[in-house]
Amino acid sequence: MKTAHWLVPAVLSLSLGFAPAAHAQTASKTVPIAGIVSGQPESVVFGGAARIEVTEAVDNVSGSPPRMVVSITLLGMSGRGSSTGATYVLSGQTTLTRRLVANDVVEVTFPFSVLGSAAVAVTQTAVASFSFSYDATSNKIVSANASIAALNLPAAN
Amino acid sequence: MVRLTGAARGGATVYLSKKSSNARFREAENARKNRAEVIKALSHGQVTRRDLIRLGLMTAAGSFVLTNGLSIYASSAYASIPTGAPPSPLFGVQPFTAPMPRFDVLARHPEPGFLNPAPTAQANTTQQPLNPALEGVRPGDTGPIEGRPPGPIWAHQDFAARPPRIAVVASQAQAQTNTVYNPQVPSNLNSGINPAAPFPFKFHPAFPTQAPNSCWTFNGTLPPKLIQVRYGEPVLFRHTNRLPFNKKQNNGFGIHTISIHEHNGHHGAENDGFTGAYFYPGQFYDYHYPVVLAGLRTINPQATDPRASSPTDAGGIVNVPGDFHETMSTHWFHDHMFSFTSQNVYKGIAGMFNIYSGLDRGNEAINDGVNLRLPSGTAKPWGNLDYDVNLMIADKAFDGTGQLFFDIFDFDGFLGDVMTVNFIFKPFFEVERRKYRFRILNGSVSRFFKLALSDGSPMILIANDGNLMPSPVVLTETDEMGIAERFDIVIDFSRYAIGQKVRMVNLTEHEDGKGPSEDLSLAEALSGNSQDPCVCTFLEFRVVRDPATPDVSQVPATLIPNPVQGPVARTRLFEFSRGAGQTTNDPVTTFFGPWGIETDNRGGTLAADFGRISAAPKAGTREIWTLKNGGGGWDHPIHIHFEEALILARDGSARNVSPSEGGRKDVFRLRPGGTVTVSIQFRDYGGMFMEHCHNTVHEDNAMLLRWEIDDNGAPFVRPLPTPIPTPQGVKFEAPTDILSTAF
Repeated sequence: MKTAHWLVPAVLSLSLGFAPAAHAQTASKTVPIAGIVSGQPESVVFGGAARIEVTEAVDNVSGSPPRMVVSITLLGMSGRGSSTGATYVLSGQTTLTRRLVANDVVEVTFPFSVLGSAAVAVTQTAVASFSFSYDATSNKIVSANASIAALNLPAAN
Repeated sequence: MVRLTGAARGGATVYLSKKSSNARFREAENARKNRAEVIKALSHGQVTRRDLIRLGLMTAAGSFVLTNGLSIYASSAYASIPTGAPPSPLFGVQPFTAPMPRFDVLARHPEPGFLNPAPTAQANTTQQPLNPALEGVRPGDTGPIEGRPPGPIWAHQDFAARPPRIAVVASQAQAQTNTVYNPQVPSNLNSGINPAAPFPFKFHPAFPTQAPNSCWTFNGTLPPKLIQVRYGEPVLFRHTNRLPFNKKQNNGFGIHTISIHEHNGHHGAENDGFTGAYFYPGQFYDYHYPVVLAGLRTINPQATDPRASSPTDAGGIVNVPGDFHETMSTHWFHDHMFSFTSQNVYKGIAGMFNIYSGLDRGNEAINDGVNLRLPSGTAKPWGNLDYDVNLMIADKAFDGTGQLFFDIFDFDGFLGDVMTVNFIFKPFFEVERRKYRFRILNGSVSRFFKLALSDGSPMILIANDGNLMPSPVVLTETDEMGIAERFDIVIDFSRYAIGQKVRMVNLTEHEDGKGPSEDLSLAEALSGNSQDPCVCTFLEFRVVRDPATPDVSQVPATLIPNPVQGPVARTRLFEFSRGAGQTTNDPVTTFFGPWGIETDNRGGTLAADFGRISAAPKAGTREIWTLKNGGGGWDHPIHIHFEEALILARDGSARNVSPSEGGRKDVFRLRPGGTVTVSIQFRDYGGMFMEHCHNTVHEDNAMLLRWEIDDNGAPFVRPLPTPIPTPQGVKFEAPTDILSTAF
């Protein structure tokens, strides 16, 4: 984006007549994530970190079950090929709508590739699993852990 | 891991499980018939939505007694209100048994000389006798042949400078068999479909034929229509309304007055499909699309930058004025009739609109340093569709006889239980072992999608809302895709062997129309455990052969960088909420519903009134708009007309902006309780435009506002008078309201 991010706070603070809208509180936790993505042409051992963010969304009109917006960002994930020693990168950010529960398990797929690959050369997928406990009262992610593995899917129905 | 979802976890869904008892199905069918009566009465003008709200029909507590002798929400022996709807019948049809048809390309005719009468800058007010079946018409009445508001304000703003060179014509018509299908690709690239064979109006060859008034599409036929245009070649789209004169002839839903919005077209408001500029059966409306790059009057006005260019028929390019960073590619066009958009679009008034440029040529072989060479084809100098495929994804529902059915559960939204692509139930599509570009449109009423491939393999997002990204984004699951959003995605099928199949999957589960209830993992979605029938695989790609010639298409690392925008003139805040108040009561321009918009924290949440001016940014300026979701549990995909915008922040932070949203956009998902801050410019043309939720049930129930570009009266009056269409002609009245912060 050509609009430099450092400009954003300045632009927002222009506030000709009103302050930026208030936002729901977001709980955040960064956890280590590691695992082996086995497969062809070689297995890859990944390690890095992931930031989990939970924003509670309570429907204050209809009384429907509350939901939460869960954002996952992979941070500095890199891997090493078991046979070639090549460096792989796995990056991504995803945002999910989930029902608000105290304990949730979220599985998200991410593409990965050898460092420096062009977009069309990215052909592999890993699945990252996040298990976390969220305390809505204190708006805190109490505990969380994460792992990464090869994708193992049921047959498409 | 098997994880229970939806009703299996205790949540309610709007469609009954197939395991429900016969008694419950009967009860639900009665309730559905009653709801159909309500919609029918509403579309016939026998009741107003205010009546329905007053009678409590739109709440679970509703008790209005209908001719079926039951409440709209039939008292349920199962203590579940509303009772849910019976699943749509599928007549024993299995998924992936019908080919997915390519869009039907509308012919391009050289202009001047084709259209008769010739198009005019101001509306053609030649009188014609009116059909007395039209509401408010007495025998002997006459009215104008063109429904566009008359006079200079609604004259085509660039007609003299950019007269139409191409004419495209289409009628809005009742469902009928297509005998002139033009996919613009050979049969072997269209899954074997013979274009010369009559194409019946069916959602699957084994489904019943739709009755004439069950569906209203462009030319009354399937497949949906595609318009191809290129920059610098002005187009005149003559749209004729051939819907029934009698508004009761609608098979229970939809209204016969229409207004076509070329979604995010950059042209004058007279061509934008303003919600109050609708026209009647028997009339036409000339939409003039100059097809220009935004900023054309101030950026690259001498057309010296070859990146700002258009393809020629000889395989070259011709420069055009404007900012190449504003190049657009994938639009769609659809009805925008005030308070009836959801019903009319659902009924079929929707098509797609591909824009070609020097950068996005539609020819993958031309290597001139400008062309990005995206997957398309090589036979024609521009606009090849061989490997460039439009997909319109939408959920539909059918009544017990298989006719298209529109239901109202409440004001939250409408959900179908049958996935369709290009109006066909769960089709298959044959592909070659090479790269394809798919221009995917969410054409639903209220449903969000999150897309993946059934094997979890990567896809490449190259455009969002029809605007090529600064850089491609490789992903295995898309963002949630709100209604009206377009994702252009490249899939490389060379990684598959001939004979392999891979399917597109929806991961987003709904329980109601408020927005996604949960995004499932790919494994969960494939497990079949979701109670939402549209969490499923819905499009099967069949890899059938190697390409006849090598795939020379590319996905460059740089596509179109974002534009550099000017200084900020001011900020505005729009909050989208329930609990709207109504401060005006014009019988034509106002519409009351539970949804509404508050502007700049003043005046409260207001229901829609297209006579009210809520904002009036000055021509030639840039503003920062914050779009705030005033509620917690629902989502709103907000569409701002006229110019696409850059997302600066989500929930106050640039860090929260997804890489997939890093380009220009025209639909902004707010997410539950969220805010989106965008930067938008107002250039080149004037008039009245709109901003609204594209959950069209929300839009129709008052989550819509009008804004207009303030040019200090030159060449327009200030503020603009509001058009009030009648069969006898369009009248004008002063704005009903001007918010204090508008100008």
